[in-house]
Amino acid sequence: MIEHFLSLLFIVGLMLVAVPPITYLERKVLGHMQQRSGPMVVGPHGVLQPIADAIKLIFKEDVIPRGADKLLFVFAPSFSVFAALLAASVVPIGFINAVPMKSGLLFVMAMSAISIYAFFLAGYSSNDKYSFLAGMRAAAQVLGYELPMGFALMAVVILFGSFDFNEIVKWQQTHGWGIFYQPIAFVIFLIMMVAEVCRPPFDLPEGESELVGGFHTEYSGMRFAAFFFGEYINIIVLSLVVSLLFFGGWSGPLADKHPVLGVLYHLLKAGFFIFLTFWLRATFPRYRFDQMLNIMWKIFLPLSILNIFIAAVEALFVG
Amino acid sequence: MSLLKKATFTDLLKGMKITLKTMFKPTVTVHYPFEKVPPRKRFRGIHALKLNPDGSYRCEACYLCAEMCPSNVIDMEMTEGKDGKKELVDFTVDLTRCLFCGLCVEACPRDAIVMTDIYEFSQYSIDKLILHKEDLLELGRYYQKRQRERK
Repeated sequence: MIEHFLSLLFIVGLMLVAVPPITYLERKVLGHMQQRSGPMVVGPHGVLQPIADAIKLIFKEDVIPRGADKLLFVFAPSFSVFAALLAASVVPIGFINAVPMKSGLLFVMAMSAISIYAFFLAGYSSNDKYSFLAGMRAAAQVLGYELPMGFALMAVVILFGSFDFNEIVKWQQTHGWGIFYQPIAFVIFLIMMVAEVCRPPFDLPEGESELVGGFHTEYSGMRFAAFFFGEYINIIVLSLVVSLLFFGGWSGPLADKHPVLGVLYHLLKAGFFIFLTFWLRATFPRYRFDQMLNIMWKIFLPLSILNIFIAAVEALFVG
Repeated sequence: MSLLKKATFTDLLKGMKITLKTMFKPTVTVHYPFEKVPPRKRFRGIHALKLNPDGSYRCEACYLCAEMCPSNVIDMEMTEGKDGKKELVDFTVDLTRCLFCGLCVEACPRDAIVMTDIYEFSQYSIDKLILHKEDLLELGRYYQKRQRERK
């Protein structure tokens, strides 16, 4: 019991502590990819920039616009963090497993799916047309990506025969990494993951150039920061999940004998996917709304359904 | 062929390769308040009044620069000096209106009014943006020092 509690503390702590450095790294990576140098002034090479940002956001005036639905307006940003942390709590990192759950994968999917409510409620309650449009976009986007993502995961689950993360990693330790069996599911899941966390090129709900600021137009101070906390925690969680499903999670050389090494492997693998989201952001322009729905519904949905049959055949031979 | 290209994300990966390569290139940023780009030789910054070697100003108060100015920046006051020459009492340049076109410099027959390479002259108070005779002569000394340095 104590063990679970400590793991939970560790995971929640990790998620909350990891967000500021990730925002810093994102700005650095983004800058260097555009031949800029990113934050440079606060501290050596700008390492203290996240702290300066936090101080600024805490001391900012908290504005609730006239005509806004106060309850939902206050509730929406906390919902974003809350859903993301709930998802984080069931994901095992190496031997650190806070809530061992038979249907962990399902729970993560459910929690990251309802985190879109935060965007929608924010847009709905702000009493602002741009926020509202962004909320509508978020709601339409969730219909776009959730189906291919679900089908891609279904293929993976058919192959591994379990929703339990520990079982999935065990399967991969005996049979080899999941990406060798399910490359299509991997690609689909990766793209849908980017859409899920509303990162470029699928950042339609927060398209600054089109919708002022998107769903967070009317937010300021810590409420504004809470949305980004939720978003970045979601990125971390989904990166952990990707490396669990397709890259063997904490399996690796010497990981059996030294469990700490396994944690390190897992975090490194997840770190690559976090870097990948920065990389995509620096490279691609935003998709137009109809383009996004087109590729989701017309390409990835049929492809992911087809992929289930491939997974079934593989499961017959391998499983 | 194009279908194969799309299916393998060739174009997208090409773009990602470029951004990854760029990441390891040196940055081109000039960290402005700490580093500055030196202004070009003919840069038109704020005005200055040149001085003779003996320390007297070269301006003869002919009003040509004030006439030439499209935005009415320059104004001067003068009296008759002891030797019958025009003498400046005050020479004001209103930087809040100036558009730095350099017509006053071109108009000046004595090469008295010039433009320095100073481009950082923001002030908290608007009065400080109106330069008077003493300020301009001080800037003139700076300008002549800069010119000597450049040679």
